[in-house]
Amino acid sequence: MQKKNKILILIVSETLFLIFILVILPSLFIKERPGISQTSFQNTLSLDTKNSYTQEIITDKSNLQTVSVLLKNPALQNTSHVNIELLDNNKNIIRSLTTSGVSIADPSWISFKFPFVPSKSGDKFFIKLTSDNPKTDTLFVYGNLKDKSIDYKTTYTSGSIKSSFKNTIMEQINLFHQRNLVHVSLFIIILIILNILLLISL
Amino acid sequence: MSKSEKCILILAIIVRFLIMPFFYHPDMKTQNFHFQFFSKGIFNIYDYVAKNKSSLPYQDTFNYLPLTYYTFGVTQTLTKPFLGKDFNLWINNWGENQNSDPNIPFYITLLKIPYLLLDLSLGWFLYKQYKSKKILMLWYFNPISLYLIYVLGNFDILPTFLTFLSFYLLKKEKTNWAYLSIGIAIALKIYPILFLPFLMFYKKEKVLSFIKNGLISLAPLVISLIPFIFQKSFYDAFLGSGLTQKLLEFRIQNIPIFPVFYILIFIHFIISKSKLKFEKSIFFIFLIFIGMVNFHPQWILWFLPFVLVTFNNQTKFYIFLPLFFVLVFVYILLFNDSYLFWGHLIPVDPNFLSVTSPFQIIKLKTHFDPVNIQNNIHSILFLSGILGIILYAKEK
Repeated sequence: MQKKNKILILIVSETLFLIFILVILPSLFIKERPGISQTSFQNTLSLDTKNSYTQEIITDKSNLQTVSVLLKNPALQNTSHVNIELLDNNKNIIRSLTTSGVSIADPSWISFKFPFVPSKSGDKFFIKLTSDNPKTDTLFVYGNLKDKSIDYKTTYTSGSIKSSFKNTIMEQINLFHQRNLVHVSLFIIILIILNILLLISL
Repeated sequence: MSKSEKCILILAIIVRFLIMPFFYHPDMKTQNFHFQFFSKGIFNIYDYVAKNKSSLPYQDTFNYLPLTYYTFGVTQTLTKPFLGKDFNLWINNWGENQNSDPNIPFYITLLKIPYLLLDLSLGWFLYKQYKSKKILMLWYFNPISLYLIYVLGNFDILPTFLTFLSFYLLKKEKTNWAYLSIGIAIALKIYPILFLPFLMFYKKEKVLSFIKNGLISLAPLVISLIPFIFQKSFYDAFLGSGLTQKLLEFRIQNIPIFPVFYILIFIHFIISKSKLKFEKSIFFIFLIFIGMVNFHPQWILWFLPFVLVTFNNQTKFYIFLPLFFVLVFVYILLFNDSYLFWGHLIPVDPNFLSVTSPFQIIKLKTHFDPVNIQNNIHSILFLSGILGIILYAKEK
C-alpha cells in the first residue's frame, strides 16, 4: 500500500474514532439530560396537611421527563404519603405520583419519573407538593422560607434519534466552550505532530 | 531504531493519545486526592487522614504503601504547574457536581503521561528481551493493557514495569539491580512478592547469594515501613485493602486452595526445563488467581506481560486465552458499579453516569440475577483456569 494511502486511512480512522466517541456513542445511549434546577439548600420547610407548596418551573429543554425534590425525613420516622402533581400552564393536573415517608431519607432527592411530557423549551409548568402528614415539623422539603419556593431538579428525554444527535452536538459545543482552549489546542497539536512524524517515518 | 520500529512506536503513542482524554475511573481521582497532600508537606498520610477525617471532602483512608504515596506525591508535585489552578478545585470536589468539570479530559491525560512512559518502556523491554516484533505489537496494541492502563488509569503499571524489569535484569546477569527492582515494586504494592520465589529460584545460587538477594528484595519495603511500624493509623488503613485475605478466601474443606495451587506451580517451575518456565509459571498463577480470587480488574495487569509472552510463544490452543479474557471482561461488566461501564465515559459527557449499566439491565429487564450470572462466570473461569494449566503444562 502506498504511503499516501496508509496515512489517509489512519487520519480517517482517527477522525471516525473521535466522531464515534464524542457524538455517536452519547447520542445512542444518553436518553436523559439534566435541565433547569434550583438548589438553594437554604431552609427546611415543613410538609404537612397545613403546608403545601407550588413551585413554578420554566423548562429550558424539550420533553420534560423527571422532576426531583429534596425531602427530609428526620430519623426516618415519618411514614405519611407525599403527593406530587405536575400542572400545566392553566394549572390542570397532567401527571401525579405518590410516595410514602418510608422511601424518604434524611435527606434525599426524591425523583418523580413519569412518561415524558411533550413540551418545548420555555414552557411553563407547576410542581405541587402535598402530604397527608398530620404533624407539623416532622417531614420537610428544602426551599426558601421567605418566598416558599422549593428546591427542584429536572431532566429531559431526547425523544427521537434525530433530537438525540442534536442534543449531543449542542452538549459537546457547550463543553467545548467551557474547556480551556489552550488544553484543547495542545491536544490537537500533539495529534497533528504525531501524524506528521508517522508520515515521515513511513 | 529502525524505520518499522519507529512507526510502531509512533502509532502506539497516537492510539494512546486518542484514548487517554476520554476514559476515566474515579480511582484516579481518589488516589490523586491523597497524593496532593505531599506537596503540602504531609509526610505521614495515614496519620493525617485519621486526624482530619471529619474535615476532608473525601474521607476514605489511603490504602497503599508509603513508597506509593511518596513516588506519586512527587510526580503530582512536578506535574502540578502544568495542571493549572482548577485542578485543585476538581480534586477536592466530592459533591454532586464532582464529575462535571469540563477540564477532566486534560487532567487525566496529564496524570496518565507517567503511565504512558512506563507502558511504552515495558513494551520496549519485552521487545529487547524476546527479540520479537510480534510481542512488541502484542503489548502496544492489545485492548487489555489499553483498558487496564488508560481506562482504569491505575498506577499498577509502575510495579508491573519494575517486576518485568527485574526479570529482564536477571536475564542480563545484573542480579543486584534485578532484586532491587522487584524490591521497589514490592514496596510500592505488595503483590510482586508472589513472583519473588520464582525469581530467586530462576538460577542456581549459592546460599549466601540467595540470602543477599532476599535481603535486597525486601530492603525497600522494610526501609519505607520503618517510620510507620508503630502507627495504628497505618495498619488501620493498609490492612483494609486485603490482598492476603482475598488469596485465602477460596476454600475447600476449610483449606485455602490458592496457596495449594501456588505451591504445585512452584514445584512444576523447579523441575521444569522449559526456556519459558518463569513466564509460564506466572501465567499459571494468573489462571488460578482469576478463578479463585475476587479480583479488582486492574490486578490483571500484574501478570499481563508474562501472559502475553506465553501467548506469543504457544504453538496450539490459540483460542483459549482470547476466550478466557472475553469471560473475564463479561465478569467485570457484571459488577454493580456504574463507574466500571458507562462511567468510564464521564470525560466525554458526565450524563453517561446515568445510563443504565449491564447489571441494572439484567436486573430490571430479565428474570436472571446478575450476581448469580457473575458467580457462575467466576466458576467457569476457575475450571477453565485449571484446564488451561493442564493444557499449557503439557505443551512443550
